[in-house]
Amino acid sequence: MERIRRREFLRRAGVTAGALAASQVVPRFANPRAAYAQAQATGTLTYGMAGGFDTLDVTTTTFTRVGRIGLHIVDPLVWSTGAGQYAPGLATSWTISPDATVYTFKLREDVKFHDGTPFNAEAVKVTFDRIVDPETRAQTAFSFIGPYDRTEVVDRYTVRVRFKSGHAAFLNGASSPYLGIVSPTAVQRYGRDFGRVVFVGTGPFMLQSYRTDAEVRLIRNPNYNWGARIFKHEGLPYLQNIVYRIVPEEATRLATLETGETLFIEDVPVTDYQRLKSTRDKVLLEIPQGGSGWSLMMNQTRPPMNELPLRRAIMHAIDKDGLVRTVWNSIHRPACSPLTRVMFGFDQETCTKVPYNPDQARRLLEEAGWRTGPDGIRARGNERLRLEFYLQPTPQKNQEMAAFVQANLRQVGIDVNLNVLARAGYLDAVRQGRHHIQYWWDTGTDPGQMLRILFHSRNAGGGTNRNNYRNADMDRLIEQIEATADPARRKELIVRAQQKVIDEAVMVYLTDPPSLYAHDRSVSGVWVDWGGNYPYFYDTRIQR
Amino acid sequence: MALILTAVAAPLLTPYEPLAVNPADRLLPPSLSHLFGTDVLGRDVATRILFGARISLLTGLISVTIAILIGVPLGLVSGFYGGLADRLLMRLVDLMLTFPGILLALVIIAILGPDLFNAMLAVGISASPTYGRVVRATVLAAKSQTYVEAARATGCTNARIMLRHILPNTVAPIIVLGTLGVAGAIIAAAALSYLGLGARPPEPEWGALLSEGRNYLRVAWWMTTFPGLAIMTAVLSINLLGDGLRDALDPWLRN
Repeated sequence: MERIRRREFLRRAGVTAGALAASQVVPRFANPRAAYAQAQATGTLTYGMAGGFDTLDVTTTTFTRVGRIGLHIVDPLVWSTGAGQYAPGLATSWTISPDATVYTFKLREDVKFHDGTPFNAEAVKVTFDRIVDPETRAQTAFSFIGPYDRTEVVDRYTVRVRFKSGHAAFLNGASSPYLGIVSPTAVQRYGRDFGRVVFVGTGPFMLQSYRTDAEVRLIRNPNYNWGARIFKHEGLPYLQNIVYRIVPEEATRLATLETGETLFIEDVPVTDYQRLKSTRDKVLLEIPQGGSGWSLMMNQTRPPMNELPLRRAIMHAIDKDGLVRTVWNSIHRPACSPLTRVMFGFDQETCTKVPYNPDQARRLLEEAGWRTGPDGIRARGNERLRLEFYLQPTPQKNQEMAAFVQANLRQVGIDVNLNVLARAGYLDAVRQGRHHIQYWWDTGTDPGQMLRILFHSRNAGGGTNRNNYRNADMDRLIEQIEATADPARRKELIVRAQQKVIDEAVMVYLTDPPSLYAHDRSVSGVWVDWGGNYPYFYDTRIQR
Repeated sequence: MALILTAVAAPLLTPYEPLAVNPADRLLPPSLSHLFGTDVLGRDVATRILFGARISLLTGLISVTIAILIGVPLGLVSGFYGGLADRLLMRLVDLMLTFPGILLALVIIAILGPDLFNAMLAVGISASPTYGRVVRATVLAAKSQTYVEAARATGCTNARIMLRHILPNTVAPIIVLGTLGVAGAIIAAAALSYLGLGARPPEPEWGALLSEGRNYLRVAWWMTTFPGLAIMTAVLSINLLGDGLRDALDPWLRN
């Protein structure tokens, strides 16, 4: 039981009594809990983040971490409360046409951006139009908005979004931070600096400062009075500041939590999982992650990766169970398909389709004409079987998994050259398609969009589909999934898509991670979406 | 000596492969079958250290060779000709000496890209001014000796005097300095690899081993302790060797 000093007790009692009294007088308009929040001294939540990112602009980023921060700065139109369940956010209500091509949203009328710009239908239009503008080079958001056609401003607070074909998952997209509404005046005014220096939305927190790869500091939005109903309170957030500190080194990040330098960390090192679970003053949050697990993308535009037998051999050669047991301390699960197990439509059958079988891998390579040379590496004529694997140095698991994959592939006679490059160089290389192999790991809650990100040809050639896999049937299948609202039919299509990409050996699925967060016991009221990706601190309090 | 022997004989001394992963043997503490334990991928730490010895010793030797190849001609020319050449070269050397060696190495890596050979080059280049200085000093002393005047009187060319008459005099200090330099180069290369700027995974370079183990300090102390000890032992024994060589080669100490 926490000891409260007498004065503090009296103060709290007074506030509660006052609030109670107020709620008796004007129960409809005043919110007693908001009053309580204002009276309470609020604190700073320091958050240990696992790495840097490209920009703070949710529209243009490819990083989940940016979504984690961005969700506090922008508000989404709707909130997702479970698979296929949505609650009002900036939109108070909505209607969807039967073919899922037209969405009409009624918007809140009491919302202002941090820069004072009023929030209205025009702001929604600007945000969405900007996503599809080729100049913007949006990636994740671009995948989320799907077959977007245009947005019509029906009246000041009614907006209609039209799609070229059905887009059943648009609400899911609209609930993600990436389609959060940004200030049209700020976008116009800051141009290229938007997201790099400033970032303006309507959210409960405002960007105070941003130092690239070091720290993002948010401060409470003093005008915030439009929190979604799904949260435990209304009005201002309890916290005064949230400070995202980038601590890529995982042992160091954990140490910051243990010394109190941070109060909340993401990506808890799996090595310390058991130890942390048994301590009393820390709380571990473990949520099976929605999206796509750790996997390898194989670039089909760079020979010899265009050859199916080679890709299939690689799938057979990697010992996922071993990878889970070693690098991931048995906390992840071996991955089966491009979707993690919690995703709608996940196909259990994919787990038995490509078993670990190095002999089978060797056979496939042999049949394709790759002969083992004196050093154990295969060659075909003058062509040595050497693959360029591009990866970033952090998190360190990147390198451990790479060493594992390299050793596995060497066993079957494939030489893997590891190119460990800092982010800029890495992105340059993989966007230009210089890689044979690169990692992917993605979080999300809609299977259709996940598949689009990974496999749609519109995302090939520099986008997120770094398999550079182009297949008209697959494109059609993805579009069908997106346009199908009927759950049974939808599931059938999703299963077919998973089997297709496994039959064509497009990617290697390694492990399905849980989202692991840990926080100090003094922190309470952390909300995390059901996909496990976005810890949200609107309801959060720190009790010393 | 033992160090070099173990490095050369590494494959004979251990039944394990340095790179092959073995999930069943993950993070085993030191035991009779795994003298220094195993790492997170089930690789034998002792084996990796033995194979790492090859890389680390080679790194040390090659870096010093690079340093000598750059430093000695510089010192020779600078000391022999004097004048403008001397002033220019020595200011260049001063300039390089103003940067701490590791910083200079970092800059070179930043330009060339992280890679083991680039790390050797970086360490070599950043160590070269010291050799230039020492050689210049020796050359200045030797230049005024009677035998150099004699050589000049018999009509030897400058090049011949430098290479045949003066260079041999600089060998003793260079050997001593070089031996000590190997130790320094091993540390520098390990530091670069630790930072991820030298050896690439999965090469079992000692600094890289330390770096791999650092996230497992609380659960697997052996992943960092033994590579650390290996670096310490190697550097200490090379330094002792250098001291011994100096005692043997220095004419002043011999008396």
